[in-house]
Amino acid sequence: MPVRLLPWQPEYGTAMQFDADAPDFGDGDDVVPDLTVEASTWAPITRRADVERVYLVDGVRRAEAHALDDDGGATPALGLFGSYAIGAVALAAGRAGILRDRVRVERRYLHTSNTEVPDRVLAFQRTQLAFTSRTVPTASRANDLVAALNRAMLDEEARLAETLSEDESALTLIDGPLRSLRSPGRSVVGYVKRIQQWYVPKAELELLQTLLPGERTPLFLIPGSAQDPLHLAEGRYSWFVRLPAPGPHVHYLGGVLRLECSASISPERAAILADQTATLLPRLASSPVRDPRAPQNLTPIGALETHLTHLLGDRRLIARLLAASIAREEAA
Amino acid sequence: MTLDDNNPSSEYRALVLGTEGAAATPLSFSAWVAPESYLQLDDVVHVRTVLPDGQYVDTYGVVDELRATQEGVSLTSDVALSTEGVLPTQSSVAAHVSVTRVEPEIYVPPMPGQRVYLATGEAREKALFFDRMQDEEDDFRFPVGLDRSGRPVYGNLEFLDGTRGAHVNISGVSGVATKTTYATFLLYGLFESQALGSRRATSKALIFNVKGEDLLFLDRPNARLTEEQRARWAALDLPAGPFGSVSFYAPCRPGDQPLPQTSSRQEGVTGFYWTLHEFCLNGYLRYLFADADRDAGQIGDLVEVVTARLAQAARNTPFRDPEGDVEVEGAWCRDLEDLVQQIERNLVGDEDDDEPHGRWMASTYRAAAPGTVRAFLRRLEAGARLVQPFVRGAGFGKPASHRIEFDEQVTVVDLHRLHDRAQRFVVGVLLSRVMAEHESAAGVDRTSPFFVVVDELNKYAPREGRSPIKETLLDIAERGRSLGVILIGAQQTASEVEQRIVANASFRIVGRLDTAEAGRDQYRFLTPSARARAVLLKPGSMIVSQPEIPVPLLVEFPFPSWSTRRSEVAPVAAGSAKDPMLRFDDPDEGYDL
Repeated sequence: MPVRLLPWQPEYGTAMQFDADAPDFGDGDDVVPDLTVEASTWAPITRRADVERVYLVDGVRRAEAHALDDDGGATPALGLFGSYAIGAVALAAGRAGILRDRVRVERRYLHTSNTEVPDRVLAFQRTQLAFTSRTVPTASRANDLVAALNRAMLDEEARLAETLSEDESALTLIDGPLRSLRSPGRSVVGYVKRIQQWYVPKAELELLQTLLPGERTPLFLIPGSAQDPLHLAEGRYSWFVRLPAPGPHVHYLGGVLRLECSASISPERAAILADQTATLLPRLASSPVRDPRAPQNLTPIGALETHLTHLLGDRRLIARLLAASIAREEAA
Repeated sequence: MTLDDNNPSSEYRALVLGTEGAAATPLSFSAWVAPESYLQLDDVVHVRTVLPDGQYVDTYGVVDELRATQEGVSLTSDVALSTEGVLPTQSSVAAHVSVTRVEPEIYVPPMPGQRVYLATGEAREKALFFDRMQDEEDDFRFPVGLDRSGRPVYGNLEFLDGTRGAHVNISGVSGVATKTTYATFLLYGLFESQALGSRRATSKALIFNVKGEDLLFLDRPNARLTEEQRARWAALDLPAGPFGSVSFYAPCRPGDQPLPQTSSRQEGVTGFYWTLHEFCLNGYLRYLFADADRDAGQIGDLVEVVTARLAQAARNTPFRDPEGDVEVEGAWCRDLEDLVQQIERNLVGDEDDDEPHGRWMASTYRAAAPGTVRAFLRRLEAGARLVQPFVRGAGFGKPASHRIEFDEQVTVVDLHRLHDRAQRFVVGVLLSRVMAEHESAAGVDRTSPFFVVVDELNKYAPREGRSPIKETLLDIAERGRSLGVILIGAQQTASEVEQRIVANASFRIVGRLDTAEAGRDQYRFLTPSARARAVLLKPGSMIVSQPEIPVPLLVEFPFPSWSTRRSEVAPVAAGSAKDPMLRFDDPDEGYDL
């Protein structure tokens, strides 16, 4: 195999499993997927299936400032001022639109202090920014607080996906595996753009080399396990689709998405969802011109992220307001 | 639409913007237009700012630019992704507002996020200074047109009648008679509105009809006026009718009878002429040399010498009934031909050689070169041939009944069948007479404005060169204001007209302009967007700039309620003996000179 490139810009890592901080929590190596739930032969499937309405859910987060609190116990407590925003894009009737009334912006002060820490409210003209205080007792490093902020965002995303998926005629796509959705609706599909675990054996993975955009692999079943709280207990159906390759210089695994839905629905229903994603996603794939994580970071998601990041507010203004607020307190 | 407590009569339309690229300033600002409403160019808007001390500042302005953008796009091709339904975007419209007025005069920028209201009623009056154009006793507003929503736009008479300014200048490409029609619309509005007050009846206008026949039916109602157009006249609070008081003059035609040289219209048109005696006494000879290219030197001197000689001769001419002839150096001249011969004899003398020995030459302090005399005579002869039909000796008619009198409110002098030089002669003679009369007039007459409408100013007062008629026009432009003589001048291109004339006009108006012309310095009073629009203006639309309002306004004026061509003249009861049109035979017998 000659050298081929991977498509993402390097500061975003790769879409592959080698990344240390990849959020796709893998199953143990002992998980054995069932490759025969849909088809007895492992061959590409091309079946066009259109869907009238699609929701894409995503969120962004930002660490505003790290802190240390001397009042928090024997050793200084760790603290993190962070903001996140979640929202959804609806694709319907040939239009893409951000669901403005679904957008939520939250701010948190996460800390390891064992005493009560009040919320911190930054007031500026007519604006009030409230950083709600939450303790994260399990955290021992600053990065743990960042991870907790991330989890809070993912939980919020999951809740929005749950609400949106009450409309079963719509396909709801959520960024990342179906981790913490308590009861994912029947039409919720997680799409994994940063693939941590391939699940299928190497021989079957070869199929991805010949897969064309619009085609997909057959479904395979990833069994659930009661011991693993991160993943759905009932197991997941999963499949791969291929996005249009940016060029011959790119490795064939570089344009692949893994998708999954809950195994609580029938395999027939799952196959329809799979067909819908195989039809839809190549159209939504982003161009390397406009997105550093092309093609996997879908165009509507990229726009939603830009919008949400904008709603987080001006980073420098918030940093200065925080500094001023704490300095005033110190002076008082 | 949301109503604001402070502005119960206004509609909320937009929010003041404060992005780095569209920062609000005290003199202009941008506003995001609320998607459920819209703003269009020329809309008048109003913002109320509350200062920290609780004081209100009202900022008024006019929308002069609108920009629609798509938010959420970063690349040109994103528009396609958005249309395909893949990329979520949002369209937004930003309006740019030029501030016309700040009340009270505390120049603070409107704050971003403040509501922008469509100014209606009192707010609009203030924004456009209409409130300053009237007080308890007087109303100095005269209509200059209608805005896009059909509401009247006014001009301030004080800037027209000489009180604080005077004169109108209209530019625009020709072809559709828009300039002339607009000039007559202005006159109609002045004479039919209350703006002139007690001076209304004594105010007069002189209009030269230099091309076409569009001014020959001012006294006839327009049969093609639709109900819709009548409503527009009603919106201006003007009666939709013809001019009430008009007299028409045309130069006499060649021949023995003092009949007017006209085309479609004969009825009600007086043929005018000057007697040879008047011609000499008043020095009209110089207007035969009205070309701007008149040699600055010698011919000019010669013209002055001869003009003075003729005036002297006229003063010395013994009375003879009927009046009109003139005795020059002992010889009676009965027509212009005689006079030209007499002038030649007195310059050149009887001797048949190249040197001019004439009596007048001998007494001239500086004898003219033979070439100059010949050139002078050549031009004199050519000019005299053109004006001969309306410069007559005694016995042609009764001079008093063929003299142009400004008895009616509007006097139309039809020159469209005359040669260029003859047109110049008549315009020059009449303008100098108007100025002379106003200089000597006292009292009431002086306060009543006398409007002079001159189209093709570029011909009479070109940018380069000198001529007696240009000097008269300059005199009007510079001193007319104090004498009550108001010039309503028009031309295709202001860049070709004497700059002092254009610069002295308080009201600058443009119709449709040629693209290259619109870019010239003469139109600096237009905002960039107004300049761009001037290239696209349709007939019936004008951009009006007046001293009080810092932004030029686009106005429309209604279809004339008087006839501008024969086909528009409403027929009187068919076959009636009083049908004035019965005599509108076309005497197209080729009297063009």
